[in-house]
Amino acid sequence: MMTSRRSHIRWRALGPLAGFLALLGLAWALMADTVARVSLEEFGTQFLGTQVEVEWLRIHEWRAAVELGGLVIADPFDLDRNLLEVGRIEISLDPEPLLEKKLVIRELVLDQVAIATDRETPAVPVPGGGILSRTANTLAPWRARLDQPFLGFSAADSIRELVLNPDELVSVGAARSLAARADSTRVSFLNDLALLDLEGLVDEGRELTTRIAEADPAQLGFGGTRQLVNDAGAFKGRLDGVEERLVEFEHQAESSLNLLDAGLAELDRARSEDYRRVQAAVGLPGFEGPDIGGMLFGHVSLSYLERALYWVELVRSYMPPGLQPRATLGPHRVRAAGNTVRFPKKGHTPTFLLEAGRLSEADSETGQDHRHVLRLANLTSAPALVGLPAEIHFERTTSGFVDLGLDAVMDHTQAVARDSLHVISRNTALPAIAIPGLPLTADLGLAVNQLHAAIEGDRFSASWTIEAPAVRWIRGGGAGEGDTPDAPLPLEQRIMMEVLTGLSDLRITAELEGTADGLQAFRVRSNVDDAIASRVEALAGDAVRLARQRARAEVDRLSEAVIDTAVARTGLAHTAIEGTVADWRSRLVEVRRQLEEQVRAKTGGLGGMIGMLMPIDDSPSYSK
Amino acid sequence: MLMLLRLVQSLVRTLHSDGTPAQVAAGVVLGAALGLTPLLSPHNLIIVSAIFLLNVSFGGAFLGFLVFTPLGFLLDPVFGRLGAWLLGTPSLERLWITLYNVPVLPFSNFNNTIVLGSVVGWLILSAPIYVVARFGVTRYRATIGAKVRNSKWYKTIATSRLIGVYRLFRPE
Repeated sequence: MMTSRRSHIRWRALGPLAGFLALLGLAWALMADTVARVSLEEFGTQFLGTQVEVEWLRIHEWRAAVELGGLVIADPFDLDRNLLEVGRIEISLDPEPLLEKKLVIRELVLDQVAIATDRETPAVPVPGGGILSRTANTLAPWRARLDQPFLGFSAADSIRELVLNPDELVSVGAARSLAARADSTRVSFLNDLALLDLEGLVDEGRELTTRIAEADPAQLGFGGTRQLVNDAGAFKGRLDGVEERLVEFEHQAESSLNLLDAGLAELDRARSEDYRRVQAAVGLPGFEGPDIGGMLFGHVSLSYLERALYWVELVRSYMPPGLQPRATLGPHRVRAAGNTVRFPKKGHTPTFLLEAGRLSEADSETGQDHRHVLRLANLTSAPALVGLPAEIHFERTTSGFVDLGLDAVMDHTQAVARDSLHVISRNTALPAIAIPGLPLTADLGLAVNQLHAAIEGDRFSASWTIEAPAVRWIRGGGAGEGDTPDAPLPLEQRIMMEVLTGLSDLRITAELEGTADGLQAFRVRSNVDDAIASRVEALAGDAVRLARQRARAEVDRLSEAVIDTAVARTGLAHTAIEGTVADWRSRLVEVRRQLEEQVRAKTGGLGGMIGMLMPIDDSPSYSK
Repeated sequence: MLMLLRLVQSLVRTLHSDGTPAQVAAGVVLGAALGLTPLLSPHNLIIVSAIFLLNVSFGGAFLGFLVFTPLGFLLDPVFGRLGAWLLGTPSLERLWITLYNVPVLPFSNFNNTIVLGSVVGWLILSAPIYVVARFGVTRYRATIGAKVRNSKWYKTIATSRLIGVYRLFRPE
């Protein structure tokens, strides 16, 4: 402990401390712009899940404004392209919220905007993949389904070499399980029944009946006769109780047998699943139109729809409805980043708010080919505090024609979020589509391309449509028609080529639906589906049908014995349970009938009265 | 390098004569704050100012910083969980909401799980650190301190001309 003589304050260090703080201030003055620029790049990259670069940034502390230039946002789906380039951005800030470390942008003005430009060097992928990895994970199972070889007619031959492991068949597993359950149900029922000791009860009933039959009321006297009647009554009471238990067992067994029957029905479904899986494993397609649409254009559809999903993830991650505390990844540093939790409060400003954004007049008006319009409003981290839906509107007019448009409305002001996104490009040259499994590429030419997405609460849906009125079919990997020597193609591929190259327009519609838990449905239709389906079915169907039959026969061969066993065991359970119940019921009825008959014979129908008039004992002498 | 030498001198002298064990221990506690919590956090400006202005051992603070920096990295997962628990505790939510929405305080980054957890962790550990450091310095001086003081390397460091700079921060 310091003694009282010593001062607790080291006054002479005030000077060095002031110097240290002055150095920090100087460092801030010199480095603030750079630090802010780097932080903005890091934040933007983390926020969007794609590389964001800022060439320069200047903070104007005295007028609460920031200027930045050379903003480049890489396309998260194509690292060789930029989504957006902005030459200069002027940001006017509301100074007061800055004291609360909140960023309220009164106006954002963008100048020199360019969209979808090529990059000189590929963008650096975001560590961990960011939002993109989440969308990729969501779509992965559906991509895997589409990875089956398209129309693998060669499977008709390869099926001969198909080696299946019975343990991998769903139907075999289900059948084994069912057989075990059937045995278990039967044994369990019989064990439960044994506890009732029905055999002993029947024997006792017979013995009592014999005793009554051999008894002489004259010798027994009134008391002996009454005792005998009481014994018979007590036995009948036990008989009633056992019969009730038997009915209970029967009901329980009935439920178990119903489950076994359901298991039998499930076997059929399992076998159908096996057929489907084995067919898929050897590349056998279905001939239904949607199957063909999915196989031809599934991958390209998913690549476009992934953009809608990316937007869904972005909105969900950064624009939460309500005022609940929300954690996001903390700032990048040498130490662990941790999570940073925001605590919005009613009546206060949100952590981030962009009140309005637009393009500069100069950028909107200049340029003979392109004219851009951009409106941003109410983009915020806490929509419930702003009370207005966020809106983004962008359009590009080329030679007086709107060829690119984007509209997004994100209403997170209520507990249930409602969002919509619509992107349309007209008369735009789209990337060619390589047809899976065929040496053919569709050059779409100038096409109309639309992307819709909507969120309502937990559910989302998205659709992508493309209309290419003048599609050109190119043989080979991008070579012009006729440039590639005509290599001999298998029959089935020639059929496909013939059908596709005969079409001059191409229309594709893809839809997906899902929830926060994942994707639930994905459908693709195109105008070529039905044409191909009918032609292929007609011309190549026999080979595929044969291959299907072989695949099914192989599944049947491996699963038949196990399934037959399961069916037999289920039948055995039915027979054993139902037969045993019926048998015991009839035996018990017979015992009861004989007993009552003997009692009536000996008492002349007065047995009950005799028992009632002269009870001599509370407990019957007859006991087990 | 020059700065490092100064700090080593400060450390060596601290352990032997400069400041009472209590001053050294208080310095270690403040230095531990720099080591245990993320260094470039605004609250550490207050800690550094305290090291400058309070009559605690500068060398002790350096020692605390050296010892507790690797510990801080190691304890980050614990601090993260502690901070997350504190920020997620319903009974404290009103407090956090208030603090988050008043001027200046949000700059402390208290709403970051690592920052809050490490600061609270340091506050919890500060008393044990003080006691252990004080006991350790007393024992050191009473046992091997004299031997070290007479060693050649100690004299080399202690008599370096650079020590003059250090005197400015020597505890009174």
